[in-house]
Amino acid sequence: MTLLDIRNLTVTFATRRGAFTAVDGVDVAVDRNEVLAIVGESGSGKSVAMLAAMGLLPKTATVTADRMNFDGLDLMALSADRRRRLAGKDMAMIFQEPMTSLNPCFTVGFQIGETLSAHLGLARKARAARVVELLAEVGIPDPARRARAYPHQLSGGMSQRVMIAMALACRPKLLIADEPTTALDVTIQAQILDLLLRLRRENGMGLVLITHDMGVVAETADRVIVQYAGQQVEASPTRALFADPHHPYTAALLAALPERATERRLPAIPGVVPGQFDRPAGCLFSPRCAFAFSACHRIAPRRAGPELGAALCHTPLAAGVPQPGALQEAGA
Amino acid sequence: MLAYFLRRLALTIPTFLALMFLTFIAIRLVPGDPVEVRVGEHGISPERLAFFRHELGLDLPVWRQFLDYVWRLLHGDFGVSLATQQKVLTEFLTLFPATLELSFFAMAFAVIVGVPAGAIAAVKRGSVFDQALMTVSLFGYSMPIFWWGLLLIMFVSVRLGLLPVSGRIDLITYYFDQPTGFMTVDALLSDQPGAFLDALRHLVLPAIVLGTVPLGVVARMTRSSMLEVLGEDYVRTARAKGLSPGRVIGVHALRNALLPVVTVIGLSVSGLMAGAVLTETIFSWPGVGKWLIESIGRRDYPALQGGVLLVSAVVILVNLVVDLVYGAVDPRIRHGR
Ligand SMILES: Nc1ncnc2c1ncn2[C@@H]1O[C@H](COP(=O)(O)OP(=O)(O)O)[C@@H](O)[C@H]1O
Ligand SMILES: [Mg+2]
Repeated sequence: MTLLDIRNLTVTFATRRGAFTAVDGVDVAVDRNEVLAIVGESGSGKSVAMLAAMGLLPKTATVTADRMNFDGLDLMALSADRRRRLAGKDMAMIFQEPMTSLNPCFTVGFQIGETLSAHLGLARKARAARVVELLAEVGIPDPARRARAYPHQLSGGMSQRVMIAMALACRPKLLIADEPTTALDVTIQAQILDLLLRLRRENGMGLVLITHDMGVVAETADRVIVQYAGQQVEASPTRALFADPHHPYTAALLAALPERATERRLPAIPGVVPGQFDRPAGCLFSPRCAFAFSACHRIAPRRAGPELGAALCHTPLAAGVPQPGALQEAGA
Repeated sequence: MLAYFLRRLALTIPTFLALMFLTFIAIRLVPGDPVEVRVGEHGISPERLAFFRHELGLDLPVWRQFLDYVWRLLHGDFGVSLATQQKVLTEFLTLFPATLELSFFAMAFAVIVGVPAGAIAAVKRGSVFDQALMTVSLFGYSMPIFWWGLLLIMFVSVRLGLLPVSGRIDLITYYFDQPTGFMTVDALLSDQPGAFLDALRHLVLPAIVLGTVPLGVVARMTRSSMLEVLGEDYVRTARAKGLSPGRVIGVHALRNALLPVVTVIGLSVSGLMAGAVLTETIFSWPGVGKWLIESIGRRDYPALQGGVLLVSAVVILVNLVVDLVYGAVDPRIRHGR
């Protein structure tokens, strides 16, 4: 049984200027002891998809899915209250901006302790002791003193460690890390990532790692989902994805990966991700695609089979070569 | 921190000088001086008029009077009330607890009603409750106090007979020492059954009238501040932890949303004092406000001059205290960041 199993997830926001589909047909499957990476440029719906899984989206969002199971539970059938009891306990999430993700008005210890009393009902004494343990576990020096610190007294790296301690407080089965290192100094990034991977190993958690960093993906992930403008354009095991990308977007991401890299951020592909008001007809990636032909600009592509990375493309690549699909044969 | 407060304190000196000067001039611009007003329409002989004026030093040139006044102030002497022959400072200190008590209950009313109302409106943004509250609070803070007070008296006290019309307590039934000057506290200390409740009943209408403007301000401020805070990352974190909605909103969001509200409360203290003048007059509330109004009527120059200065001092002091409270509420300020 897959730990988190989501099929055909769609999230639509009611905005002042009409409905906007931020996530459109995404499948997510991650198991215990497994690392799933979700990659894609800013605005491709990575965060929204995972917030949907956590049940943290605002009321303006409509979430639909063919299936949305966590640990054998049908999330969509659960009451809001039951759902809330999973969050922070069995599935936890940490965010991109550790500095603003902690409440400035309360001490670090209070904020971690809150999780412990909410889900485990730990009493004051036990809670305080556990908080110190957790802080030590995430590598915070002098944890007893740090428990009494306020967030503004911590650096970004320390704040993220605190967030991780908070997420781990109830030993969750799944941890979702939404670009956990993007806001941090380069030297700190590696430390935080190592910490996450170590804790995942020690606790046997499933880990969903949203990242910009293809280098990190290569080193850590078992499987990869590539998202573009809300759509899942490819999903493959990591090794297969790096060896033979099937979607032109994935190929472009990898091709732009600087070999002698100093900067390992997501490489630049000319153009931008379409937003709410500049959706192209046909394939959403077609304006930026090196392989696009006329039909790509008119007709939305269908999903290829798993042997082609479930690529959402008219002419998925194999060994870098476009495979003639049904459309081309029809002479479109 | 200390340097900061001393600097703040020093900055208030020009304000005091201006106030001293303005009240001094303004009260003398009102036609009729203390002697004439006391004498009334009967009139007395010009000789006796001159004698009384000389007694009070009113025959001196105005600039001399001002310098005398300033000189005495510098020695901590606020002068003697012409009406009661009591020291102005003593008079002020006797009456001030009544004003303070009224202001406290008015502010408590504003905060206890305004903060939850504003918070709920923010959470249920755009709902009927939200729209109703915004409309009502707009009325609230543009409400003429005099009209609003009389309306409540007419309806609640006269028509329905629910609450007393004036005063701080029913003096016929209850009589006791007032060691603190706060009627509610003294009533409790007096051990007279029912006295405390009666004091509270007398407070209800004046507190509502005086608290209406701050209520509007507090409710609106809480709402807008809450709306901002609800979008913050740490609120999302609180929800991601699986905390109950009540705790997310009531603890994590509200605590942060209250920071600007504290400032607004501090700033509305000066308005509260102005409102107290009217409210005390409507409800015959024996406080500083009513005293000032009466002093104007009597052209009681020393009482008015001293009273205005002392009230201003209180307002300034409160603002300093609010700064302190703000530091206590916001750890970032407490740690000097
Ligand atoms: N609450 C919201 N209301 C409307 N649109 C939203 C909301 N949250 C996110 N979006 C939009 O959804 C899209 C995807 O956002 P996001 O998931 O944050 O992207 P990513 O995490 O991949 O950078 C963006 O275009 C963003 O503007
Ligand atoms: Mg994101």
